[in-house]
Order: sequence, then structure tokens, then C-alpha cells
Amino acid sequence: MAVDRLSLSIRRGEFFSLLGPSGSGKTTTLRLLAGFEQPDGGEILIEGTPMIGVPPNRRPVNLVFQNYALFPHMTVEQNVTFGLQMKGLPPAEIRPRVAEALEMVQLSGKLERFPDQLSGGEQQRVALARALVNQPAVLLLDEPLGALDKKLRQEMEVELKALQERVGITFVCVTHDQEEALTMSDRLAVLNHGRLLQVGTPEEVYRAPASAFVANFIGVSNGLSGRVQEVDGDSAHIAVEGIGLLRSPALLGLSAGRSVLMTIRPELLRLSGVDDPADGNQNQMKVRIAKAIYSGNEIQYLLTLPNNLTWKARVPNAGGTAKRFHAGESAYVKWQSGEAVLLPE
Amino acid sequence: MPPARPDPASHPPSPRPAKTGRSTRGTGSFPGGFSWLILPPALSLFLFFVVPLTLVLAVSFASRGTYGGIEWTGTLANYTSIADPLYLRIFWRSLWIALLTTAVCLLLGFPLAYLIARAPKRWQAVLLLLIVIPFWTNFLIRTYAWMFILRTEGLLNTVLIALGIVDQPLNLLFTDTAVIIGLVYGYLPFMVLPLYAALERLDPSVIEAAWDLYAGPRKVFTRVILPLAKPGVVAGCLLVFIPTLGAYVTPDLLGGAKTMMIGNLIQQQYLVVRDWPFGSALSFVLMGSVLLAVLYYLKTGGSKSFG
Amino acid sequence: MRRNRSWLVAASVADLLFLYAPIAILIVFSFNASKLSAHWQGFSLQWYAKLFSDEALLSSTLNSLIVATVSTLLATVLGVLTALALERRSFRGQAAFESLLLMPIVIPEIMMGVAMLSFFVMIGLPLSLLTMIIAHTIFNFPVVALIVRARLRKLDPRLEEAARDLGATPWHAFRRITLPLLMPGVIGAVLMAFTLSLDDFLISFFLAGVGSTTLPVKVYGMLKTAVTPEVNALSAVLVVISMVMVGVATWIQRK
Repeated sequence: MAVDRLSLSIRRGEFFSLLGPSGSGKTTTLRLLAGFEQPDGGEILIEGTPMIGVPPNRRPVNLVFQNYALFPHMTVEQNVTFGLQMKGLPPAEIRPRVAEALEMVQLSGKLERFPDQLSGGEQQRVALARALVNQPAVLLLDEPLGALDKKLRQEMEVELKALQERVGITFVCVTHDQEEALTMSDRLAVLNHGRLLQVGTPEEVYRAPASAFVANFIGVSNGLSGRVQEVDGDSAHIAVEGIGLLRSPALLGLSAGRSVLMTIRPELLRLSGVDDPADGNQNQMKVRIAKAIYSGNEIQYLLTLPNNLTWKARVPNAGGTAKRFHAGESAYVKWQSGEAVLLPE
Repeated sequence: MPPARPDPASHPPSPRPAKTGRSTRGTGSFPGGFSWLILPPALSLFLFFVVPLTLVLAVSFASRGTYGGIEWTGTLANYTSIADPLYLRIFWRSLWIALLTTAVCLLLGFPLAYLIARAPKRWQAVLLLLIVIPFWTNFLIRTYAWMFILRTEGLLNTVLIALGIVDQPLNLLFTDTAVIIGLVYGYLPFMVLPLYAALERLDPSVIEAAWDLYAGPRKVFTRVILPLAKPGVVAGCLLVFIPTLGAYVTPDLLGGAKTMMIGNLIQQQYLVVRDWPFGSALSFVLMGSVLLAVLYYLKTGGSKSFG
Repeated sequence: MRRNRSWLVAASVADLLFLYAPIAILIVFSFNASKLSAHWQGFSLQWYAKLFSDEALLSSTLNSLIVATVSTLLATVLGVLTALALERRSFRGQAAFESLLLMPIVIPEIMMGVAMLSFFVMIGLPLSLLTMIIAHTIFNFPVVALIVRARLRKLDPRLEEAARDLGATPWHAFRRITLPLLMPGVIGAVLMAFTLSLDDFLISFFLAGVGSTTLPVKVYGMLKTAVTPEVNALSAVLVVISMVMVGVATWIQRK
């Protein structure tokens, strides 16, 4: 089953991303919206109008394909003109709209070129213009930045978001790159194996992942399995084998004896050479530095915990004030207990 | 006016550039040096192909001797006598039949080629083989099959009479229609294969894009599929038109005396009437028509304009 | 485009039926006991018996086989030489030669027949199996050349170089490396040339002399005069043989 009992609402004018690994059903969902697939059951409403049985050429939706699917035998201008021609608009009306669309993606000088004479980034902009010129109610994008190299991708993330805000159309974007989704989206949905795991703003999904999968898919996350020893208001003590007691925020309805997974983001960990045992709000563990990787703007540490698990820590390289550790050294890793996220196991 | 644009797919196969894959060139892979290899083939081709053709050209300017021999007068009479309405009618009929056959092959072959191109990969090879297998049976046999079916006491008439659809047997054989059926039957694979090659290269997401951009099925076909399949269409049409124009067996067996085409005329001149000069002239006019068709192909295949 | 599928499938099935029905009909009716071909009068093998006792037919079949075998042999040698020369050598006038090579395939068959006939008569060579063989070789070797060349193209020339680097002489490198790898292509071309020669009608028709008729020419004669159901049996036999050959050729080409 490609998509399993999916239920989703997307608001007008928002930039919405469908995020998930390959095979998660995100592309199928997109194609269901576009009309290239028909659902076995349920309904699809676009601006309140049911879309079941409506073919793609009659939906107020346009799709920017992953490989752009530009018509190789038509010029840039002819490509962008196509949709409006099919709708039956008079040429006098079409020409200015096409010019405007191409200007919006900064391709005004390339009207007469053919797709194979353009770079990958230019082709993508033609595909965007070709879709946007029709002023659809929803614009669908299938892995829009997948074919671009890293630097270009980061530029396009910003540009795409800016474009969407300028145009004001609802964008639904499919991607497997969580950085893309976090950067561009107003809200996003995480899918896996055809199921919807979580919907929310980037911050919500990052800070409060609903499951271990989401926690690990969005960014990197360190985890420890343990058992709840006692609950004290809005915080709890978790007993982790080989390590001891750690404090964490309490889940709703948490009770003693429950198995939980405590997760903490690498950038929230602090390393110190000094053993500074907990005040009530901090957790501390003694670790061994397994590896120190210099990454330009930060140093990534691989830490071996007392129970032999490996954690990742990221320490920014801001002005060299933080102490630098080396492989083989011992250190203490600390974090604010309230910044961990507890997930049921 | 949208600009014309060269289509790389249409250029006739050209020799590979000297840089790639020819590292063994001239390094004496073979004892004897570089021209030794090509000598026997080149010689054979020259002696047994170029010379005979030139001979035919020369004969076309000669005259028929009293007993069917050749008298070497240098005359254009053979070419001018082609202008006789009797012969012009034959040329015209041949052209007409060839064009019709090509058109029918295109109409029948396109859906087939499209389906095969869109079929799952494993099936494509099988389907293509299915198309080609009948082609490998002897052409005479395949033509005879239609004689068998269309004859007055043939299968079709027998069935029609038995079913009571007609009282009298229909006169199906020895008509232009029979010839066209036979030609289509013989040359359909020649249309399907190049069409398939062109359609197979078509990116299916381009078709979806057209659909997404509000095009109905007819528009998708005329604005996207057909233009992109054009090289295949042109190649297929050529591969059917050329041999069909010079067809002999099919009009002879299925058309009889009523449907004479250029091929039959030439044969008659050579083997019956024994007017070799005239036959040669006719052959060269046929060859000229074929060359024209090829040039036309190169020209239209060499520029794509979409208005 | 999915809803249009059924229409496409229907048209294509019709096409395939169109292609196979006539042949199937011939084969079926070759077992018809009746002399009046189209009415089914019971199962019989009499036409096959008659077929195999027809002297003239058998001798023309022999002729066909001789011509096909010899011309295929010659065509293969010439074709392989050509392919090697074009693909592994450069020489002046190569482009012109390549165009010339395509000519026997492109020009109408009748032109070839006419030209060959004129030539042999002019030089006083009587029409015989020899002239037939020459003509068949000429129209076949470009086909062999094309097929083998295509196969050669896919062959990495560095394999030969590697062999030479390891001490093989040029001839050895060819024999032990290039030739074996080329074999499937060569065999495919051989089968194709053999079939083309066996099947050829028009050129053989023009060049048929006394005692040098080939099978297709004889069949044509039969078709033009009295058509007996013997022809159906003959057709069935030829069809089966062709299919077997195509099957074998394809299977080998796949390797």
C-alpha cells in the first residue's frame, strides 16, 4: 500500500512540505493531488471542490516534475505558453503573462532557447514558470531541489520560499531532504511507509518529534532507553542502565515503570573537562571522546557513553572560547534536563 | 515564427569520429597495412555493382536492335517516350499505391508501436519479435497467402457465401485494393520498428506534463507525441515507400494485368519485350524518384519547425 | 492516458492478428484433403507427399541451398573485412565508401536484377549458378558488414590492446580476443545472409538460367500457372523453417 489512511489539511497560501524517505508515499500523495493517481477510497478536496474522478487536465493544480519534463521540441517561451494555450486564451493575453512569468524566475533573456541548451537550474525555473503562469490554486513540486548541487540548493531554498510568498499561491512540496523542508515550509508532514507520522511547523516537529522515527529523520538525535522511576510534577527521573538516574520533562500521563526513550539534540550538549555534578536542572555523564571531526563552523564529537552507546555532540567554533577535546580524552557531557524530549517506547 | 532547429536524430549514420575507439588504427593490427582489408570488398563492389549500374545508365541512351539486341546510338528517345500517357499512368498508379500503402502502414503501425513502447520492458523484446517473425517468411509465400484468401474460390469468399452475406463471390483479387493489402502486409514491420525506436525514447513524464497543463488526449497527441515521434515517422514512411514504389511480386501476383506498376513494366521490357534501353531508362527514372524521396527525408528530417 | 489503453490494445491485437492470420490459414489448409482449396474436406497429408516427390522442386531447392551456402560464405568474408576496415582503420574516401556500401540495400531490388543481368550478358558470362552466387554475394555482404560492424562497435578496442600488451601478436589478438567476442554477431549475420539468399526472388528471377532456377523462382512459376494445394504444403514447410531460423538467430544474437 503506497498510502495508508492519510488525512491531511493544507491551508491556503502556505508552503507545505511532505517529508519522508523513499517509499514513504509522499510522491504518491502528490500524484493523488495532481490527478495522476486515483485513491481507492476517501476524498480529495481542493478549495472545497471534490476532485475524485477529475482528470489532471481539469484540476486547478499544476505540477513541477522532478526531472522538469520540459517539452524538448519547444522553446522556453513555447513551453511556458502551453498551459494557457490549452485553456484557450487568446494570444494577445498569453504573451504578456508568459513574459511576466519568465521575468519572475529571471529567465527573460532565454525565451528562444531550447531545454537542452539550458543548465539544470535554468530548466527548473522554466518548469516553475510554466506551472505558475497558469495561476493554479495549488502548485505541486516533486523534489524540486534534488538535482541541484549543494550550494545552488541552499540558494534556491531561499529563492523558492521568497517566490511563494510573493505569488501567494499554496505550494505543496515533496522532499526527502529534511533541511529543505525545515527551511522552506510553513508547515510540514512527516511520512513513512505510507503513514502520516506528524504534522506541524518546522519548529514543532524538530523540538517535539512525535516518535523515534521522526526524531531521527529530522536532524540528528541522541537517545537513551530507560525506565521511569518516579514522576515529580512536570519532570521525571529516568533510570538508564549503566548510567544512573537522569532528569527529563514528563510526558502527559507518564507513570512509573514505563519504558521510554529520552532524546536530545547534538547541539544542545555541552562538553566540559570539569566534573560539575547536577544542579536540579542539569544532567551530566562521563564520556570518552571517540572522534573529533572539524567541520569548519563547528566541531562534531562522537562520544562513547558509560554504557558503550555512541552519541553525537556539536560544538560551534565561535572564537575558540570553548575547549577543544581530542580523541581518547575523557570529558563530561551536560545538558539542560528540560531540553530533552521523552518518547514512549 | 519559431526558429527551425537541427535534429541530430535524423542525420544518416555517419562514421564515428576519429578520436574514439580507434586506438588500434594504423598500428598494424593486421599484417599488410591499412588498405589491404578493404581491397576485396571495395573491388567486388566496384566490379559487380558500380560497373553494372553504370552499364544500365549507358544502355538507357541506346536503342533497341531489331532482334532485341542493343544498338549504341546516343539517344534520349527512351526517356522522352516515358512521357507517353500509357506509361505516365503506370507511374502515377505506382506513386499512388506506394503513398496509400505508406499511409495505411502508418495508421496501423502507430498504435502498435506506441503500445510496445509503453509496455513493460520485458515484454517489449517479445512483442517486437512477434512483429518481425512473419516478416522472415518468404515474401512469395506471404503474398500467396493473400491470393489464397482473396481468390474467387478463396477463403474469404467461401466464408462470406457460407454465412450468406453475399450470393456471388466477390471479385477481390486482381484489384488495386488487393495489391495494397499485400503491400501493407509485407511492409508493416518496416513502419513499426522505426516508430517504436522513436517512441521508446519519449520521456513519459513529458506526456504527463502536457496533461497537467490542461491538454486533452487529442492535443497531447498532436502537440507532444507526434512532433517528438517525427523522426521515426519519417524513417518508417521512407522504409515503406521506397521498396513499395519499385514493387514487382505483389502487383504481379495480386494485381494481375490490370494493376501494373513500374516494377512490372520494367520486367516486361527486359524479359518479354526485350527492349533493354527502354527498360534501363525506366529503371533510372525509378531510381531518380527514390533518390528524390531520400533527399526529401534528409531535408525534412534535418529541420524541425513547430508552428 | 490510461483510459485510452484499451483502444490501443484492441488496435494492436487486430494488427497482430492481421500479421499472423494469413500464414496460419495457409498452414491449416495445407492439410486440407480437398483440391478445391477453400472448402475443408478432411485432413490429409497428400500434398506433402506430392511435394517431396516433385523432382523439379527438389532440384531447385538444391540450387537454392548451393547458392545460399556459397554466397553466404563469400559475403561473410567480405562483410567481416569491411566491418574491420571501417571500424578499426581510417582510409581516404571512407565516407564515400560507407555510402556506397548502403546502396545495394537501399536501391529497389529490381534495379539490382536489371543491372546484374545487363552486366553478365554484356560480358558474355552465361547465366548459371555462378552468376547467381555473385549477385547474391553482392547484395548480402553490405548487410553482413552492417551487422558485424554494429557488434564491433560495442567491443572495447582496449581488449585487443590489453592482449597485445601481454605479448600477443596482432593476429593472435584478433583470433583469441576479437573474433570470439564477435562470433555471435557474425553468426547472426551469417544466418541473416543465408535467409536473405534463400528467400530472394526478384534478383534470382532476372538471373535464372537453364538449370539454375532457385526455389523462390520455381515457386513463383507454380503460383503463376496452376495453383495446387501442393503450394500450401510448401508454404507451411518454408514458414516453419524460417521461424526456426529466426528463432535460432535471435537466440544467438542475445548472447
